[in-house]
Amino acid sequence: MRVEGLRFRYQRGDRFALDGMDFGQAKGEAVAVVGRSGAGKTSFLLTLNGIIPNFYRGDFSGEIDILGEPALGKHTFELAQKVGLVLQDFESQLFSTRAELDVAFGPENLGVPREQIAKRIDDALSAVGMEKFRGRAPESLSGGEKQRLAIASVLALEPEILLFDEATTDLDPLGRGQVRDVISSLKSQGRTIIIVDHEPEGLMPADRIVILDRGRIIAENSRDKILCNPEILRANGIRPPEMAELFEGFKLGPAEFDPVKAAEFVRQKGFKPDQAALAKMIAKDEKRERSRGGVLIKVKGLEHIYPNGNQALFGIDLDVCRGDFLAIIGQNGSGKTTLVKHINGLLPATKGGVIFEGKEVRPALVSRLGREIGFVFQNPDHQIFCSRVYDEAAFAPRNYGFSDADVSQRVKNALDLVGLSGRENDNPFLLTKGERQRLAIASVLSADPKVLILDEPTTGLDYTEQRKVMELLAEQNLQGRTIIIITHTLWLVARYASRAVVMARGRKILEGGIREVLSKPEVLKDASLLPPEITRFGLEMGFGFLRVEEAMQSLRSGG
Amino acid sequence: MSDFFAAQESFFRRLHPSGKMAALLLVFVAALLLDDPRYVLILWVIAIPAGILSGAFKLLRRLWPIFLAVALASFVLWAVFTRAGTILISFAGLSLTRQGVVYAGGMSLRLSVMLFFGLVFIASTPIEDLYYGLVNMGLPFPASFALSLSFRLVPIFSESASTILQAQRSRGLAAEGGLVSRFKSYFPLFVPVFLSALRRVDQLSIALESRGFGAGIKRTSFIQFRFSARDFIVLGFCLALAAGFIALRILGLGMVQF
Repeated sequence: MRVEGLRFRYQRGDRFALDGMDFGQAKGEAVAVVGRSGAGKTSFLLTLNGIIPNFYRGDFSGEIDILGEPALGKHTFELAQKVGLVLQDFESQLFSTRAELDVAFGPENLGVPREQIAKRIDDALSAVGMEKFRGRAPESLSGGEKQRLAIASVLALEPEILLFDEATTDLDPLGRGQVRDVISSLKSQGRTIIIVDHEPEGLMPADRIVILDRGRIIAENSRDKILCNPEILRANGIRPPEMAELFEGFKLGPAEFDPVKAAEFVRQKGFKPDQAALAKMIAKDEKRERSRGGVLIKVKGLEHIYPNGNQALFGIDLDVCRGDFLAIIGQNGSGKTTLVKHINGLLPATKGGVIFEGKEVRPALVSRLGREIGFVFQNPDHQIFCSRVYDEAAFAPRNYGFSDADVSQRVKNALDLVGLSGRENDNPFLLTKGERQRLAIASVLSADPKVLILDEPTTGLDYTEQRKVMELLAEQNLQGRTIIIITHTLWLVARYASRAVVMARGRKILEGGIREVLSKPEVLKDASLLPPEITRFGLEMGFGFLRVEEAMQSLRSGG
Repeated sequence: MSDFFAAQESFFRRLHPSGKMAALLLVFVAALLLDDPRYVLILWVIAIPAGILSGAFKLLRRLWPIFLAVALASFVLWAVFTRAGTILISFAGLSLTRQGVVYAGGMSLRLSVMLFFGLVFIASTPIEDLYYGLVNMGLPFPASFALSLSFRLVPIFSESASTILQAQRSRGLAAEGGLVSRFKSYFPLFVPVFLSALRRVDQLSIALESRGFGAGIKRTSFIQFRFSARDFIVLGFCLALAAGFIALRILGLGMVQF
């Protein structure tokens, strides 16, 4: 594949999404394309299978050769047989009532004879390890299975080149692992692959990494060279592997990405934990535990059975204290969201219940409880509906009947806190995803609630935006607000939360201080979760670190 | 709601989709021909076994409040607004006539039974069968596909609408009070539902394009249906039903006489 001088501007776009890209890829090579949101990653992939400029029109120039033939002027359906595209949103890619029919859809469109379609279904499903799911309804599958099915339905067109546009972003760790395994196995079969991903784990199948910024390639090198350069990664919205940060901090040369091997290497170099430094960390943990406030939310024997008969929660007991920064972690479907929706009464308890400040929470109270308990939903687009940023943030205080002067003061405060002041008159729908997420938080903060509940507040954001959101929450927590977040991103939990609850199969399987929870990999494994790299590294060294800085401060070279 | 469209194995499910559509059409013709409730009731008598043969009877039974609401609303409307006939009672300028009440009964049975048969059809026809049937009857594939897909999107939109409503209630939106204030308070719901639908459709069209949709090549089909004895039995039955109702109509029976 060869791309030269690629430029593209969307209709009504104010700048070029792709601005002079030159790119080449050898057959069988896997390349990761990374960069902050809006860098042009998706636009680049869309030009390769002709969606740009056939479907999205705009100013287009440049040349694309795919498998030795010019791609320009070709229809998307012609290119689809050479270049397969897997999207982030797996729900939209599936529309059949039986898995095999989703796989058959592409070949049917191309007029492949029926007997051959049967064989293609077999091949494609076995390539993603889903032979047994042929007759299943896609909507009954887990996220990871759905995305694998979406990959199979692209494979059925037998493309030589496969493009993955953040194919793992919306998945839980279990699903991400499944899809990454599929990508690696496709690569080992000799397919040519381009991956767009925000997480360092997702970049592992790549041979080479290309960094995009404002529609241009600004850096390009072998995977390890790029991953061992934390600075350039951070500057482009990619989270550096924690082992790379550690090795760079200790000037140990190229990083060993596997935490166990890294620990072995570091030990051999003569590094040992300094007991005084560890004691200091333990003392700090204990102090935080002792200074917890009184119980604010009491969950007692909570059970929930959905109208379709599925039991989502089994006897949950949980105390949330004033000033806690609680992370509820677990896979999708483990009951996290169901649990927190009881805290402000969005769901009625089947058995047991929730006490907030001594009063029982009932569904009839939802709209009134919004003043005390703010709830930020997973997808900011399910929340935002006003045509001005100001009105969005003013919605809650207006509902609570504050005077205009009060409303404007509250909106000002809330927008200040999330870094959106000065944007009052902007249209929320033109903000970036990270800004929309922060606006969603502001629109709840403006009611000045005692508790802030956030359902996966960082999903789909790049590293820079993820940190902005989390630092904003940490600041709020410092001011005394109680924070509850649902997430399955454990490095983020390690860095920001004070406590964690681990959910699996509708049950609470572990609860405690953050270090205590993350230092129990065997229990986390039962929830299919893996502690962050730095914690796994630390446990090998004898102490569960939560941040790279902690390891930097407490490891001394004994030589 | 989404489980409603996940058709189970059933007698109707195995029917040729084109034949099933024709059969549905014939039942609708029959329903529209006569308005005497005693005759329309015949269709409800047939509707029960049809519901069982669709394999979705349990789900349909759960929807009885909807059928009742449709039946009651149409009964009241037709009874009040039919002015011809012998007056039974008059009140505040409105009057009920004997024939009007009977006619309203027929109309309410007719509407609810058509709704019931429509749902029997949808519940026993997955979208692939639906567009297969439409293409088979000569409709172009893109149009058939779009039509079928719209059924599939209904539960998805209703799900996102309920999430959005939850989000707004937890920001102090009170969905209480009279009809007007209730409607006004639901207004903010439309914007995000509409936008999330647009976004979804946008992603969906990229996915479709990337899988060769609209290639303009003669499309093949992995699923195949052949007309068999059961199709002819069902079609024959519906044909006889429609013919019988036509005959009654010609004989001047089954119509309310004013």
